[in-house]
Amino acid sequence: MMSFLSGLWAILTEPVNFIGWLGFAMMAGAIRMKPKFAWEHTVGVWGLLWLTIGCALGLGWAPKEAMMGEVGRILYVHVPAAWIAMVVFTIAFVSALGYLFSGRLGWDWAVEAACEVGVVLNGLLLVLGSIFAKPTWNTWWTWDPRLTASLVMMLTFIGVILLRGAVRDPNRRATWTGVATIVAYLNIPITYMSVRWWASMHQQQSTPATMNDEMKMVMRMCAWAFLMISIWFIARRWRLAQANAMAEMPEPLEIPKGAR
Amino acid sequence: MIPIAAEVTGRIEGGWEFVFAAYAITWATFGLYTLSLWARARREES
Repeated sequence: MMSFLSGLWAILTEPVNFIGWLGFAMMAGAIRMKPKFAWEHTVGVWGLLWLTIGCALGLGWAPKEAMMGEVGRILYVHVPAAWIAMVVFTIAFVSALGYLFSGRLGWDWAVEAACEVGVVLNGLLLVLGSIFAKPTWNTWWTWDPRLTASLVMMLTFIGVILLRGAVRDPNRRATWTGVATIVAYLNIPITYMSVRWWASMHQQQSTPATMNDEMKMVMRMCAWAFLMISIWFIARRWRLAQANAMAEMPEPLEIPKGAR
Repeated sequence: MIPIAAEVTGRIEGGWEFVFAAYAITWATFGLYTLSLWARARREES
């Protein structure tokens, strides 16, 4: 436990993480100062800036991977897509619990937003994985435990979105979505552990000790960029869900004359 | 005669087309999703 905590502390205090800490500080500042534009644009632009820098460094500066050569550069977008898809599904899970315990629709809109953004990232993850698999495994797709679990992860959350679209009553819809999200989330730890539990072609999780400093830096840079962009997407999608919910609400009844 | 061990290194050579495709698809996905959010927000406003 202590070694895990000290490892986590070592990761969090690395200089490259200023991208994330400064991003969160800018986000907090924008929320507090209430500028004319929505606060999430600050974090979105910050994420795009670091994605640009991260991609440029990943393509031109980071060294070749020892066995995969240039193809190893796909890791700088493939791995962050996997990490952040799981983080976003975790946001959906926490929001689902938030709704089921509080009954506040704001949580439900967060579930709607996070499920959709998570599916987009999960889809991107699968496509990038397929592109990665062709030169390294000589196939676009194989029913490997990790790949299959990742596909099931996306399909279950698509199922949550479809279920949501099929229920008209807002409160019932929110409850059903919350429960379905929690059920769908059960697959996340299975997906994460699939490379350890079953014989998989997919490699096991790397640790910072197995990567050199340049590769680690670019990976962290891209991961922060994906996280910032995902926060931006979730916030925009949350506003859309809120606007849709407001439009669904019935018009207030007019008080007849003389009724007071 | 060249020994087989000298020819087969196990290392992948080249493959830039896969790398560029992966990066382009990442940017395209983010761009299209941004566009989709913007279009839906516009439709909601009108």
